[in-house]
Amino acid sequence: MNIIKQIRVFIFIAVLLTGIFGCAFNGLNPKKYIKWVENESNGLKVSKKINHFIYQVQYKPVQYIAIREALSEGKINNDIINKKLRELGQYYYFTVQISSEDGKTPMLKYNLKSTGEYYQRLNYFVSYAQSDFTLLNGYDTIPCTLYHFEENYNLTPFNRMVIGFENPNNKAVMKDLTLIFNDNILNTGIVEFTIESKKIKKIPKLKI
Amino acid sequence: MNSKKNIVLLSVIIFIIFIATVFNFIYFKKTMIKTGYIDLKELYNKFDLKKEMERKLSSMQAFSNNFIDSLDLEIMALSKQSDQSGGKNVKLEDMIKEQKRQYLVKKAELEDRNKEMAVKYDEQIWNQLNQYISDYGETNHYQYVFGVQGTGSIMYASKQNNITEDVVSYVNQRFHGKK
Repeated sequence: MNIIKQIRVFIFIAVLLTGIFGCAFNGLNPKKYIKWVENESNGLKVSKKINHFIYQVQYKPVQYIAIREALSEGKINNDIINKKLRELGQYYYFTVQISSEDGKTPMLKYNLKSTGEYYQRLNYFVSYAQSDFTLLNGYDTIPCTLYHFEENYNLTPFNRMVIGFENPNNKAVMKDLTLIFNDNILNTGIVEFTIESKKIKKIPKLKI
Repeated sequence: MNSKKNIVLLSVIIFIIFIATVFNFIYFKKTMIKTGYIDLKELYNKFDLKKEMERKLSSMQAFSNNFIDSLDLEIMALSKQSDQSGGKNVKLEDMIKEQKRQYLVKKAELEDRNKEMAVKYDEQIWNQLNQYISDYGETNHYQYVFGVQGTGSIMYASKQNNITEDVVSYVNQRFHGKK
């Protein structure tokens, strides 16, 4: 009798745990998925401060970009997401944000030594910074093939760059991804950011 | 009955001592000033960014040296021609003079550029080191972290307060974006 009781308790606990974890791993809805990716504690968003500038790097899974685009267009379903995933192609995507330490002055205008320096910075980020970004995937060095500098006309204390690196055949991330920025304008030198592969493997499934 | 009383009394005393120790420990920890020192020379030499910048600089210097050597070879070839003609070819002599002038100008230019780059790289290395050391101090709750350079600013420090090794590992991890 006692054994039967114990088995019943065991089954009850097993069903309860399966229910709890099953729900959690079944996937996240689009809004929760976005929140999860943008949550710094999940390791896909990393930042550091150097020489009065704050660098922030967001690794963006293609699903994240697809749902953000779909949400902004106001329509989201499996067909739209799949179409967008095909369009986004085989790339690793990142957003790099550089902001001023004081949180007020636009990054391009912060700590200028001359007025000409502002135009040098603008020119650099618009035309030359792309070649200073590389991605290290294990021992492979991948050049930056997609680059877009978001010009915001100094309305915010930060500027963003959307960058992409080819990932032929959409290979799964097996090793840490290290984004390297060889800064040639803000006098910070080489700046590196590592997105750990174990954190990328933990990205939950998307449920629509 | 008496022994029972003694046990209770002993337990109370032990409990009071325990509470006092815990209180003392917490209070002492709060008021204690945590300090450490770093051997700056060792830290600088073991910093991965310094090693990368050094590689960059030496490849730049090698490129400059190759360029200067090629100019030097050209002058030597022209001088040989001049020797063969007995120095009578005025055009050739003028050309050698011009090449020598260019050689000196270019050499000075490249040396200046290399020096400038060395200063710039050094500044970039220290910009990052200073930030990472400050991050280290903050995360490990240090009130003071001293830098020892052997210039006499700190005359003595006990070796157990030497945190250089720990800081080297921390700054390299921070540099590679792993912390």
